[in-house]
Amino acid sequence: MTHVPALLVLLPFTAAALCLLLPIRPLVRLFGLVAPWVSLGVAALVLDHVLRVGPLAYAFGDWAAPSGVVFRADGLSALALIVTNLVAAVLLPLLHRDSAAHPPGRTALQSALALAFLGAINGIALSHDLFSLIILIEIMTLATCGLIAAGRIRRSLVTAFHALVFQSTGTAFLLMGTAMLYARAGSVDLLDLAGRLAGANDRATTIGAAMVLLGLAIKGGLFPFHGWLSRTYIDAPAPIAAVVGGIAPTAIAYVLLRISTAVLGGGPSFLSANGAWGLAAVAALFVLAPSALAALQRDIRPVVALLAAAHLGYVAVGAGAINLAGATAGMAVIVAHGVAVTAAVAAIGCLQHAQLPTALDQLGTLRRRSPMVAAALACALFAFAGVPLTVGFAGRWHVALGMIERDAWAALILVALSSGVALIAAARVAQRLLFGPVAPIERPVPFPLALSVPATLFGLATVYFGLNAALYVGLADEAAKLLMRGPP
Amino acid sequence: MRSVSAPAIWRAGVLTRVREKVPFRPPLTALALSLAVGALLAVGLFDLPEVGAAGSPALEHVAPRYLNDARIETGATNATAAVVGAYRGIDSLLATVLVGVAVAVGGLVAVPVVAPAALRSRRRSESSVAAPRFWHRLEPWRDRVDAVLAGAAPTKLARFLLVLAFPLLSLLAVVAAWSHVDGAGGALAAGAIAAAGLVALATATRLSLGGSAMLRAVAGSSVLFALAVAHAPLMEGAGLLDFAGFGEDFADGQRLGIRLLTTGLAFAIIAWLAGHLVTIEQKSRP
Amino acid sequence: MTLASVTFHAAAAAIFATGLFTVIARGNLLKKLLGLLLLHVSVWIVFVAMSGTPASPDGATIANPLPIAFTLIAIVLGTTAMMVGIDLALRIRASAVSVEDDEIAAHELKS
Repeated sequence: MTHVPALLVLLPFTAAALCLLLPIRPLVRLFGLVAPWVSLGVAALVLDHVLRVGPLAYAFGDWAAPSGVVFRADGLSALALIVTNLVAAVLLPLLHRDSAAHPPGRTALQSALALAFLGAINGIALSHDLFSLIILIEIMTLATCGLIAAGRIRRSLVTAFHALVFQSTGTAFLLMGTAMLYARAGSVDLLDLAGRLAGANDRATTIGAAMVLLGLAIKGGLFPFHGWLSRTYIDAPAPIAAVVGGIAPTAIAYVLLRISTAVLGGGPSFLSANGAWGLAAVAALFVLAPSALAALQRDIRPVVALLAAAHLGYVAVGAGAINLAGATAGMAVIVAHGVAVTAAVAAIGCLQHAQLPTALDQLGTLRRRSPMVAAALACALFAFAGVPLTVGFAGRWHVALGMIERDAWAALILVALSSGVALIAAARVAQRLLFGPVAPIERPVPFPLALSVPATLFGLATVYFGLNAALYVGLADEAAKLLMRGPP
Repeated sequence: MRSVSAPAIWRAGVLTRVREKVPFRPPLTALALSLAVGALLAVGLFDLPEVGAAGSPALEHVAPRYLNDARIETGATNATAAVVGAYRGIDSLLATVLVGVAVAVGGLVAVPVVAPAALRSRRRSESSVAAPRFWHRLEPWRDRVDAVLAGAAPTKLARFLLVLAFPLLSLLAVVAAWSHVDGAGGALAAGAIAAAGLVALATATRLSLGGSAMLRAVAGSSVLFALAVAHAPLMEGAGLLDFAGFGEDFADGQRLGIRLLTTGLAFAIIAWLAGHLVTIEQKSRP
Repeated sequence: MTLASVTFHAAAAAIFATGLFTVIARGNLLKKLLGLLLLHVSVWIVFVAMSGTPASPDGATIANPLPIAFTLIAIVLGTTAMMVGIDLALRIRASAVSVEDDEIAAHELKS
């Protein structure tokens, strides 16, 4: 178990380099199919180890924490690892089904990017060093842009370009914030930063922290910055849109949660003290605004993009509460996001691939074509709205608990209001899906398995995890306790 | 048909017009937003410790170890090389992987050759909005530079000098890469020097390296090499990137490890930059 | 406040603002990339400013190695992003009418 945290990151990278070097189809295919499932298995082992024995730390080159770089697996890391790997294990092997027609060279490059992406998400979950984290996030960014561009249709190229510019701007914010925090604390190790920034409330720390959080909000596609993500849903090749939309924001949301709760939570006052009104502002911007906009749309794609952005906003709200319930809420939302976004984006991908209309008024056609996919889409949207019996409810419930504990009544009202608005948006879609007119289809295009299988699977998962919320809420609670207690 | 090789950035420059088609009106919201962010940033930055002030946190917490103990602990005479290669070796490794990812993306979107002459004529025929007079005056110069870089073949003497430059620059790059332990940023410097050598060679021989599979293989093997170096200590039961066992004593092994790791990074950068050398086919003008 | 501090930090803030403006406001894909590079350059300046150490009595000062190491890696981050952007822009140019954002959008509508 000693070397596992490091190998979980470096072995996918090695496999990616091998794909780049030896573009032989059997090898590439083997890596592409096996690596995500092996990674998921090892992630499960890590989770088991963390629960039974305790956190797992790995110091590279045997240089201990503040001087060297340390990867650590605590409860939150293990949970993020399991969620992102679960989605990746279903989606990444399916990328190959589409690429069978490509020349082997291109399949190999696409595989190399997918494997680099896998290594990067594992690293993001494990790294406890702010600077390494940024490099890993950048690897994820470039890999996603490359995957989007792999469609080679002009629209997907333009989308890849915009995703790159947007995300790299986010990286610049992140780096600038890191520089300022480093100048204040003298190191970039997350645990060390938390200790040294505790109580710091000067202008440089405050603005540095704001830059870091802003950078993460840009990269995670929170509300005002969700543009590149919704373009990706529309213009990228559909299976890749599911990978990019389902996994990347989930990983970034995890980083946002960890940094704002465990690292900066004790520091700048805009996060901790006088937070009740700040929290209300966060809730209004990140949650209420996109939910309200979603209720006004006429096309299913912006509805999904806006509701997903709003759902991710609850991570920011939960993290902003800086208490146990808030942290638990953040984690529950991350789990729900991984599951629900994948279902929704894969369902949209089915629509796009079969060239069915995406306007809300014509969604009834989807019911006729595939009731399962239609149901999955509806379930995912209800999960975004936080309806009971779906995976989204536990997160919403704990967000509310966190608000009550903080006496942040204004924020609580805003959260309740936006849940209601999101419910209206989801219900509008569901109503059209169930009762909308069915347009006749002249030549039906079959849904690709690479999309209909994940859509159905994760659609079922939204309900399954909703009914058995204890499966992950207990875990999230344990992880939150570890997180809030700070370093041992 | 004449041709010349140039870095991709130049080709990108050929595609950019000094004058944009639509007159540029700065959107006020963007202006206000960027000014606000800049002002906020200035407030934060001015609150940081003075540049070079004694007792600033950046100098106090972990830096003393790097400044005082690096030579003993890592065998590197240069503290930055010790940080990049040993203490934070994983950062270099991840940067190497990042370059590998960039190479893969470049391979996926490799560009077919476009004739700049055709582009330029398209540029002339486009109805442009009247630009300030200053840019008008620059336009002939721009065309002249275009002509030199994209049209005129190098003379015999120039070609001889360029061919000669290649081995010299390559040698210099190897020296820079291997002396990294004694000079910060050697890997990056080596990458830049070697790429300059390749530009010279490609210009002289009209070699097109853009999107070449061979360079992709070189970059891939450099990344693999760096990863192998990182994994190698596992064989001796040590942790990843723990190079102490590479040499006879602790510092010796660390020094060798730092060199190998940064050489991997250097070669990945060289191959990646060289992959952006493309041949521009130039149709002879009527 | 020393002159060095003011110069470095004011320059960094100004360059960051310029870069942000270019990225948001400029339509040309390559100018957007140059704006992106400005954003990253501003970060490099802040890191380099941070590496300053007080002058020692014998005149030999060593820069703080950690911010220098950060700068080197940050340069790799910035340039990879920019070069990948150039690759994409060239590819878009090869398959499109223009490198101007709004023209691409207009072409999109027509096709």
